[in-house]
Amino acid sequence: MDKELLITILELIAKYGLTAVISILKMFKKEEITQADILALNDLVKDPESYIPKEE
Amino acid sequence: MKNIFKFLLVVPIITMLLIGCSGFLSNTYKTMYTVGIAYDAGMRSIGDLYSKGKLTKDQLDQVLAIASKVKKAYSTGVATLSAYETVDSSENQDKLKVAIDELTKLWGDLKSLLILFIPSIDSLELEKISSNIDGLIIKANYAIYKGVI
Repeated sequence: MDKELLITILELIAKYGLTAVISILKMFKKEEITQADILALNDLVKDPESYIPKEE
Repeated sequence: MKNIFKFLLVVPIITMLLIGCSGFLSNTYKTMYTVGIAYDAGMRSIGDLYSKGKLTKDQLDQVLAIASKVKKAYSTGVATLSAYETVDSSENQDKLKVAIDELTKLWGDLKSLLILFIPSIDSLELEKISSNIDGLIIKANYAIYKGVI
């Protein structure tokens, strides 16, 4: 396996955990992309403001 | 934490290496998926940094301004990809290429900004993440050994 790829995967594991990374790897193995897969992309990118904790 | 940000730099590499020779639709989907994952990770980290006081309001506003553009371009990308999946025409393909070019450009701008703010992260967090990675390497190896991946 390419060294940079391995580093990237490990960094993703550190951020998201093993389960999420497995799902990413499975995504790359996908052979057929459906309309539902495409529309689900919108769930990945949330409104920027939603990541910022509200000040009290 | 710095290690986490490093993947923002190399995320496109994972796309290049894993995409292989699949079709335009599949390649575009996978590119958008990795950009989506990287955006989400980057913005979560920005939220963490801001809540810990390691990011100024001005820096935050800079990130939010570009992130809003990325979000808009991403939605456009999803809509054009959806249209292309429905009707595989050269017109839809051209529209999709334009949308992806715009998204890639804006993502590059956001990524540069995120990386610029890395020096504000302290070494203690870096060590914590490094030790987490060590533990996760063992789990990842086990998963590969068991054939989960």
